[in-house]
Amino acid sequence: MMKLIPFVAIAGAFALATAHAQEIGKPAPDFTAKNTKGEEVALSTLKGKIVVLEWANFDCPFSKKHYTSGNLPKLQESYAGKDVVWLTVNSSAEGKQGYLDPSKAQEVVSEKGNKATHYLLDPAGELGKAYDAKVTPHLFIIDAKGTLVYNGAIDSLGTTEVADIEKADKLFVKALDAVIAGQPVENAKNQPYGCTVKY
Amino acid sequence: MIARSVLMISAVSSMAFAAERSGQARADWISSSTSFQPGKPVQTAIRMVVDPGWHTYWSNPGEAGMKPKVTWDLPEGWSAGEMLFPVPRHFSTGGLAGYGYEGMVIFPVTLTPPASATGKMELKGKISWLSCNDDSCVPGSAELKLVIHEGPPADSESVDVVAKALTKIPKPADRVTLKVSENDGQLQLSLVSDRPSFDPSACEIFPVTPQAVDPANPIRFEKDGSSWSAVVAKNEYATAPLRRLTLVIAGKGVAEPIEVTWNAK
Repeated sequence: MMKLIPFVAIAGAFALATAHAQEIGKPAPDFTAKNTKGEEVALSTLKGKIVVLEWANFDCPFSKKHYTSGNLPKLQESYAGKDVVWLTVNSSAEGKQGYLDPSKAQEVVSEKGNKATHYLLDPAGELGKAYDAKVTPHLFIIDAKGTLVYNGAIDSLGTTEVADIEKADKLFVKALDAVIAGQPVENAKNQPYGCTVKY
Repeated sequence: MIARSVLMISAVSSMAFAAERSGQARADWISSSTSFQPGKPVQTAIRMVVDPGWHTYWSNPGEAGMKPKVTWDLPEGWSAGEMLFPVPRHFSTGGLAGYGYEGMVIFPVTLTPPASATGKMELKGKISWLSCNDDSCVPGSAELKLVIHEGPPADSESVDVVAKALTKIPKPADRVTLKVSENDGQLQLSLVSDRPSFDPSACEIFPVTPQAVDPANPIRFEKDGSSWSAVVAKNEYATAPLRRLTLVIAGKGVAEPIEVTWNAK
């Protein structure tokens, strides 16, 4: 047993060092990132609004499931009407799946039906790593006070089949509706499913 | 561009292989026997070959990825048992830990005809999967087809392949007990066995139960008096106390891969 102690101590220290940014109930990490029009979007300027962060990779079969079905575009559109700022984030590095050349990004984003308030380009992965975005799709919700209140999956069925969208427990939608209603989020942290973010 | 080139490869290789190709892999359905007897189970298997540099996933895929899924379209009275998953590998893709397979993987499936089955049957199913490498993930699927006829037992050319595949399926372990206790985000695992050659420190350990153990670091057991112990971080998504944990233990320290389960009292 004695032999194990140093390992545990190191593992514990490592956990402390990394578990800073994405904790539920803590201030969401601030960021500035460029949208497809080249404009800077800063979280600090969005205080007072509910903000959604959605990691996307249009070529990942799990993101595709929610775009070709129209599920994500529909959600983006309907929550825009409820004063939610929706930020879709692309953290694919240049040369990796889902990367969009900034000059062509807007065209692709429109073609895919994305209706987010801003589509953010994060090829260096800074925003992705600040939130520890793991997969596409990975959803975060920040409340009007700037507190992180949701970190998890879009829904409960981690498949690539469109037919499963209707059958799934809509974890993210439930969370966002709760935040809008000023209610606590029940399942605030859960394991998102998808492709790894292509950092 | 990626999708288009996959389609082209698929069109070319479907002529060269019986197995259907898509999503950086191909798959077919094989049987240890070319015949069946009414009411008697037949040992079949789904064989998948993943392209070099790509992998597909175990029943517990880890932090990303997807468990392969099979759906059957069988004649009335026929039934297929659960698809069995062989011992996986642990890998890291884009910093996320996963469990799965590279190269060839064979998933045994027991097929049972009804007592009334007769003649020549053409059976169908479909397998869908996700293949990933460091840069991309692509979905794949293959229609599965097996032609089998009623008759005396007759080994197929795949009989050895299927038999070998069965040896890689973990079996429930007798004489091995797992205990789990929890302390401050750490899981203390303890194995006890009276099997003389049992040595989990010479084994690879995989958590069958998803969202229980942090998959980032391999589980390593060390001799601790009369038992073996390991300390692992609890999975960050396991918020409630753990109720159940199943581990696969495979490698030099066991005669064959085993599965051991702990249930909270």
